[in-house]
Amino acid sequence: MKKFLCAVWLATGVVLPLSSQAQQALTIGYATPELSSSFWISMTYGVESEARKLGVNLVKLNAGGDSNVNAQISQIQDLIERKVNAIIVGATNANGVKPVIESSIGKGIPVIGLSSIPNASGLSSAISADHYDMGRLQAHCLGKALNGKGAVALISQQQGQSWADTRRRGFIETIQKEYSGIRIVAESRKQVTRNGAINLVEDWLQRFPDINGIYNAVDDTAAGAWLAVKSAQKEGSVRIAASNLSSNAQQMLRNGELVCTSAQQIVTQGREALRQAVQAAKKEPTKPTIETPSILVDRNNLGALDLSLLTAPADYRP
Amino acid sequence: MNTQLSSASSQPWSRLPRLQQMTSLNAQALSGPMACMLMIAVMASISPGFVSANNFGNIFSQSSVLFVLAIGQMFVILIRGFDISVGAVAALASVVAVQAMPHVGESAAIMLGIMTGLLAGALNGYLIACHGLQPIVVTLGTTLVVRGAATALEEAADSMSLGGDGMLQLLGYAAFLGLPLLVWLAAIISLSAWLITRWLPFGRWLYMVGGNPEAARLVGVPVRSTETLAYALCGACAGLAGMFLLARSGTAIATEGAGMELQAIAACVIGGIALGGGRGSVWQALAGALFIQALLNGLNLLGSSPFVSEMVLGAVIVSAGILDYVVRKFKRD
Amino acid sequence: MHMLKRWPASLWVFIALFIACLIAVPRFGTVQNFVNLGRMAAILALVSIGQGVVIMVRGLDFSIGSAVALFSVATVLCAPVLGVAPAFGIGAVAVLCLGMLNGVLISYLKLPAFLVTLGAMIGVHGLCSVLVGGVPIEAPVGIDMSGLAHAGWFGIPVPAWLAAVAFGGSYVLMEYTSFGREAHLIGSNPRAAELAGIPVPLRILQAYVLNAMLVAVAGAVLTSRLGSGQPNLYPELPFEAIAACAIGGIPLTGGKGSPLHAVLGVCILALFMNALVLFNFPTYLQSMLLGVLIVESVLVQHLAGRFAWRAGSAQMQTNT
Repeated sequence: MKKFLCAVWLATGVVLPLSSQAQQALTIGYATPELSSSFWISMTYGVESEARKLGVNLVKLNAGGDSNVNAQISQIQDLIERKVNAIIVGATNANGVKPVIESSIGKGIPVIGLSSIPNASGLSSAISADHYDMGRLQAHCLGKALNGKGAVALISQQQGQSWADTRRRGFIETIQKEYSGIRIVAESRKQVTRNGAINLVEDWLQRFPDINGIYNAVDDTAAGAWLAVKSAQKEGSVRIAASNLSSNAQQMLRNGELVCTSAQQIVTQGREALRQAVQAAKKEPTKPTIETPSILVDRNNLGALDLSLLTAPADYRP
Repeated sequence: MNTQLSSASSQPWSRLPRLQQMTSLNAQALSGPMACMLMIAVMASISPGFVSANNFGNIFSQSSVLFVLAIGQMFVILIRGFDISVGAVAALASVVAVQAMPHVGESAAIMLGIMTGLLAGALNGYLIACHGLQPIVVTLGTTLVVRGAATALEEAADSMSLGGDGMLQLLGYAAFLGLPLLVWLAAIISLSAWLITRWLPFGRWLYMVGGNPEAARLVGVPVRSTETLAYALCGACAGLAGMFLLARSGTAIATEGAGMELQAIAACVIGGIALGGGRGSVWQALAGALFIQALLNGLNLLGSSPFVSEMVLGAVIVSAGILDYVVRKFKRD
Repeated sequence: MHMLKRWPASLWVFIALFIACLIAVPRFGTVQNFVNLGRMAAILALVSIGQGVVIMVRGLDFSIGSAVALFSVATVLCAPVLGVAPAFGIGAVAVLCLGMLNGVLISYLKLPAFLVTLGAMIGVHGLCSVLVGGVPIEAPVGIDMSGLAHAGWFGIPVPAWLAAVAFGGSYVLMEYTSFGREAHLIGSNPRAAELAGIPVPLRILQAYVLNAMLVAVAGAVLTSRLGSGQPNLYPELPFEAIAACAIGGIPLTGGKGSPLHAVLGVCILALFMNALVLFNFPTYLQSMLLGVLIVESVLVQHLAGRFAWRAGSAQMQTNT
């Protein structure tokens, strides 16, 4: 029995180092703020499909929500502990993850910022999404659809989340500057689900019967807003706009339920982020900033778009 | 303990039979640390990089926030209550501290943050103890009010970040004798809490009020003050946790902490502190917090599909209770 | 005075609040608003009655938000293959299985309800996310599920009828049958219930299964309304249900209360939330006011209860 055990110990002692030698593939860490919106799912699809193509291991960690900064800090610390070759970070809060990211860079693990860029110096690359532009495009779309006159309500999502605040700012400032005939009568700045949006919009239509436009920070609440508008029988008079391009948003565009949605080449951004991470891991030069433009998608140009750059396939499971 | 009681023989509560919960180390009390060790063993075998001095240092420093929250929660669970506002209170404390810092300096701002927590807790305690309202409703109401206040303050602020190199930022990432500073602080707080529950009369009152409020009232324990103070302490711990959060992230986030209150209560329950009140101690809360943090850390290191990790997290939380069941059955047989 | 003491204090709070809303809240008193309110309150009423039964036997169920999400995901995944009605059946089976699992762990293995339902909440959410890949999955074009949510009898939406039937049935169950009496005893004194020969674990399991049935009905209404399978369908549901029970007057220590309290709590809560949106306050202020109002309503009930007791005892003194 003792001899057998000794043999086992010896064997593991020999085999383990050999196997670790064999695994020379890069390991990239990926810290995403949440995985409950089509935005970040598509982003993750971009990162993961590129990782599979290039043959690198990907460690995906999900903070579970934009407000879970403490959890994300722990996750980045754990990625550092796991000695990954590079880390891609979509920050829950740009300032909140700054200390831990600087610590990672200090320990020699390069960091790539993706979409929600950490406010740290020394990032190897920053692939950014222009959230202000997404709000601005929605404003132009709604402004034109309402002929410059009317009352809009905003489902802006949680106050304090930078992407939501930036999109909202883009929308409000554009409306105030260029469509002064449009009043903003109501706004919700907490986390709203599709079901919550139904109740919210029903109550708003009750209180402000003259609402003719609804801004949505994400496309999921647009679906709820539509259900409320339909049940109040105001399909003809209320126009709904959104951001993000999930498959549901695409269907809503085709059905004429959604006037337009502002979108970004999210999958492209994810792929680029992984490519830059691999460059940084191999100590090769990286591009400091990469920006992809926002697009306004409506029923007319939906068919002409290359959706594989914008959204993950329907059967993707992170 | 014996000498303590006999020297206080003129006090009414010394005539009560010695409260077993406070001193005996029965198997049930050990189920928390056992669960913890089992978790560490499992994670050590499946998660790459789990077993290293650095990683254990990480786990301890990451769990410092949960430690402090769990200790605060212990005070109120002992008196048959619980406080689901601690996440929101921690966020508010950090917002208040950051906003006050340019005006009153760092140490005073930290004190102010902790005071905010204390006041919020005292408000909870007043409503629950003096008016007899249900803890769930009061703390739910407080959560909503505090979150709203934190969001409003954040909106009105110029900057939510700690400027420059202050004491707090040093706290977040520096180490002393190999262990992160946050761990030392959490250890000091745990020690203070342990001293409160063991040596102060207030500690004895907590167990008495939790075990049998009517009997406690009859022997002269000031039940209302005890309960109010327990909630105030819980709030102060939440304020402290807010300072720890600030140390780690350097920024006050008004929406932070959502879900941490449930984790803190789960930590206490896993550690073996029953929600029925009257029994439990500081190290049980710590064992439970360590269990949860080791679990989260191990799942992070494994890096499997994030959704599968979530399923595993849920299953393990349920299983933590099963260990308690096994221990109970073993005790009976 | 005698009449006053028979009705729960929350009824008077509700009536006072309703009158205040009629006077002060803009555009509150219209038929359309009451229909909206009724639809929203119906869903909350179904789950709050179930939560009330569970709370009465000293339990708690945090997993109902994830349970309705599971219903929606299971239904929408099965609908293309099995058709609408059988798919709803699968959803109901999934929720009932979850409820039974919770119940067995809590009643027979005597695990803490807090841990079990918290773990179930997290685990089932992860399961739903795994099944749909994180993003909501829509019912395929051509399959219409909206019948349940939008149909109406005599002008009142079907969900409201379902809630009314559920209320009637559970009120009779809890107040007039032996199950109800035993449940009250188990909640107020579990030892005594055991000694009296009541099969305590079985009753607790039945309470969780009853809760699961009501949650399944709520899940059906929500799925029908949205036509989509969502992991994040209604995460606040358990907290709203527990709050409604507590506002209505069901203490979390168990043993007291009835479905009437749960429904009154739902009415008060739904009224508050409706009024806050109609007032159009900024979101953070709505959140603060909701918190204040929740605490105030229980405070008022508590003080009203003491006032009624004093008035009653004063009356007794004058009578003797």
